[in-house]
Amino acid sequence: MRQVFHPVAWLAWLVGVMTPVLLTRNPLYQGVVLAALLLNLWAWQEETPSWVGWRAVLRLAGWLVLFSVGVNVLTVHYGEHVWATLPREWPLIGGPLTLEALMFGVGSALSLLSLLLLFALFNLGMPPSRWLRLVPGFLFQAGVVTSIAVTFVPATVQAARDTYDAQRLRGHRFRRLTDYAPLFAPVLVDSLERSVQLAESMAARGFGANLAPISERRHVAMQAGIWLGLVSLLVGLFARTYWAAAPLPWGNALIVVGVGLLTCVFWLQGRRVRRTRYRRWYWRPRDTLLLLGSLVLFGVSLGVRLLAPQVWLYYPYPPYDVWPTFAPVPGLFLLLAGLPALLAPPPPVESSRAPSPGPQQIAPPGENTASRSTLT
Amino acid sequence: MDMQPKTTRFTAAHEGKGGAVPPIALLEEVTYIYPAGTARALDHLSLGVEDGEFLLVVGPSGAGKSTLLRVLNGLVPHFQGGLFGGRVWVAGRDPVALGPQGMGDVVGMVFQDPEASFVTETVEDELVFAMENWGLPPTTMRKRVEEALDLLDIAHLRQRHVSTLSGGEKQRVAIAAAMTLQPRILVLDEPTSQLDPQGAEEVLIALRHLNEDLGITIILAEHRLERVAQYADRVLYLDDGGEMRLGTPRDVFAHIPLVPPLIELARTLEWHPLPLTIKEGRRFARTLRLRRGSAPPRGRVGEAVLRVEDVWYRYGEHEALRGVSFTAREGEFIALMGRNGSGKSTLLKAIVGLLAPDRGRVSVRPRRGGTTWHRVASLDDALPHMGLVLQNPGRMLFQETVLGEVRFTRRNHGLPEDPGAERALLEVLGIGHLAQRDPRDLSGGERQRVAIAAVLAANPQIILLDEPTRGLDYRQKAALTRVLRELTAQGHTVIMATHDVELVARAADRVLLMAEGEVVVDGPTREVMTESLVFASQMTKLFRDPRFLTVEDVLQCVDEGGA
Repeated sequence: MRQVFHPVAWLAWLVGVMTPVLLTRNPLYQGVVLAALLLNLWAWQEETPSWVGWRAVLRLAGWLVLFSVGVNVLTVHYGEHVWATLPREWPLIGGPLTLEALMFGVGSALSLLSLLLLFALFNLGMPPSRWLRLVPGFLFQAGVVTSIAVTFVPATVQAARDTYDAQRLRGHRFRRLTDYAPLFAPVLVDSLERSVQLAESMAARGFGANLAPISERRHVAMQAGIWLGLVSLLVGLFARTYWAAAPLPWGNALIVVGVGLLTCVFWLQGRRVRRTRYRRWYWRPRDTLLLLGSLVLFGVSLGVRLLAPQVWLYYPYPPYDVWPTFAPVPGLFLLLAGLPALLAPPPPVESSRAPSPGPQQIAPPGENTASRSTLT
Repeated sequence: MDMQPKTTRFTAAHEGKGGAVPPIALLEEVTYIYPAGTARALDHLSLGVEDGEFLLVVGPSGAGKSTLLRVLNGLVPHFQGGLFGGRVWVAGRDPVALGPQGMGDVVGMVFQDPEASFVTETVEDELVFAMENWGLPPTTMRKRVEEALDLLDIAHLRQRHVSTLSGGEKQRVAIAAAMTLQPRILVLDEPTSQLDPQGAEEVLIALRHLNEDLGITIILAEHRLERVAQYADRVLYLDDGGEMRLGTPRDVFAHIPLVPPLIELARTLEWHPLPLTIKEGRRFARTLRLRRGSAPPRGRVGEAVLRVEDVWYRYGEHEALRGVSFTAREGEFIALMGRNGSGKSTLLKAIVGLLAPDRGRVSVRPRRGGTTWHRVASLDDALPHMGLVLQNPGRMLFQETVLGEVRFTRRNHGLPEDPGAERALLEVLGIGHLAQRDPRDLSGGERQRVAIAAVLAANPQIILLDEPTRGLDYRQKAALTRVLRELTAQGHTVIMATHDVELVARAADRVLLMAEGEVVVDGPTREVMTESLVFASQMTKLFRDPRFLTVEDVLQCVDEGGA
């Protein structure tokens, strides 16, 4: 697991790249972002357990995306550029196959892939437990839950594999869905047992300790605050969505009140927890560069959306043009998504590919410069 | 150094007891009943632990060892509820009142399975978890991380992902994580039961260092008595009948059932004082007059039934098996030994066709099938002839009753329901009385035998087992050994991957020693053990004589009154 950038710079990069990915469906721009992300992947891939997990996810996503493009082409018969026609008698898929449907599918597929790849890279660059230390105190519990899930899921997958083998060894055959019953009970029991052990270990190490006591009245007030906040938020959202003709911005006001109330309660709750954070990370010149690059990417993407929305806009169905347009200047800015690969080049081959590092392992990249940097 | 135990701030809750040094932990008349149970897990237990002591807690599974350890930091009764009686003080605090969260800085706790107790992904994060919860200032955390890394000698692992560590390394990380709060007492619940001998040794050496050099009080529950007996100041023996015995290792070992072979021999021959190590034992062994004679033959073996020829297998870049060849015979008991990762499990899986070898072949000759050899290319080819019991029995069992597990396998193999045969199988394995029980409610040893029953239900000619003795106590191991010998006597072939040298000495006809995916030694147990320093039983180490692998071997050759 490599921690290449400072968590703040790294989060900025995530937000910077996510902005254009979410703002456009244009397959050309999406393609540029995807290519830049693949450059990072190529520079960084290592045989770490989390990468092995993400690789499986990405592979699956690749197939799903191909499938969804196919479904879109076969079921949406709308558009002017017909390139084939299936017999009309065929239910659902019968009819003209259009270029518009294909392009729409490709655009959506590329943006989905980019997003997934973005999150995979984000996780590879920094274990969740590290960046979770950035979240405010009242969200710490949520952070721990996430961190546990990250370690718990692979263990459950391993349990499922072992159980599958064990049942096959007893002559059981997994053919139909009902044949999978012998898999579930052992896996469930196994994960329950592990949960109890984990909970004991966490309690023994003081998790949930150091909670300042509060009076009964304040406790009730906090509960009430959470409920009021939630109700106000939901009503506000409902009003905004389904009651668009409302004369006053009631919806928006309610949303603001709800979010404010919830934040307030969580902040007060968080203050009760006397917990400290262990942060051992450094701000290096490359973090500054990555932060600046990410800000530029974010600014350009948002600026284009606000000042020249037609650049990002792409909708292949009539009355719009089926062929995506490409403006070179914003397009080139999108290449900033590949900045991490340029700032932190791949480690030497021998240290990254060693199958099982011995006890006298070479210090991971970044450690050498640590002594010269300041502790934040 | 910061890791020194803090100055005593013991509030004398019980002056005038047991001399000048007040105990660091004191239990008075502690009784505990688990919420669902009616039996007492602890029954009027009283115990005082001295500051800086190394206390070893032994006894059969289910005797209340884990419960006792959990009382010390308040996990019992806080975590599970139940009925609690009696009084407890630990370092001047009351864990029953404070609960585990209030005891973390005086009692560090380490559990059986390090993997299941990790909260985070990397070693360094794991070390800071407790300190963050306790709200220690960042500069203190920074310093203590470095100290804990040095203390357990794991500084080179700091950036590693915990799942990539070996068993011994994982457990040392877990100990380091417990040490960061600088507890005065370290409580460990069978920390080596999931480890191979090398990993266990690493952990025990680390504990000895903490105890002798830093004066940390250590309370350790452990099955491998032969490895820790010498380090312990006192031993607490808990029986499942509610009996307890507390004293020096020599006192306690002189009286309890189920002890290591060295102690067993010493007790039978009335050696005094009782030797705890091979070094001490050799002094007595040299004076022993033994009859001459040749080694008694092990059970007779029949025709060849399994042939493994030049089998290769690789996982990605890693070559797990490199040209393994051997032949197994009818009625033979083969022990597969070697470090973790030497290819034992892979070989077993390749034999039954769960993994398809890259090269080489496996063939079987059915007992009643005359002279023809059948190639085993897949699991389907293998299943009529062999069965494999995987490491974790819990992952195999899912029926509501033990009998149901046996019937499930028989149905899968197209065998008719036959209550007589099903009962007989359970009786052989010593679990006949459990037929109607839910497998999930049974103890580890019982579940292990149910898993074996679930595989034997198909009556395979060849039985393969992958580390079946993990986490079993002496009694359960003895029962398992008897069962396996019974099966070989009936003509079954047993191939077992194991780290348990004493079990191999008692039961195996032949040893295959594996390293780096190759078979480096293949020979009769007696020869292999006598020639090896590491894979040798206590009796072989004691006498260096190929005739003596077990206590029985020695006793048969002792002249009357020769001791």
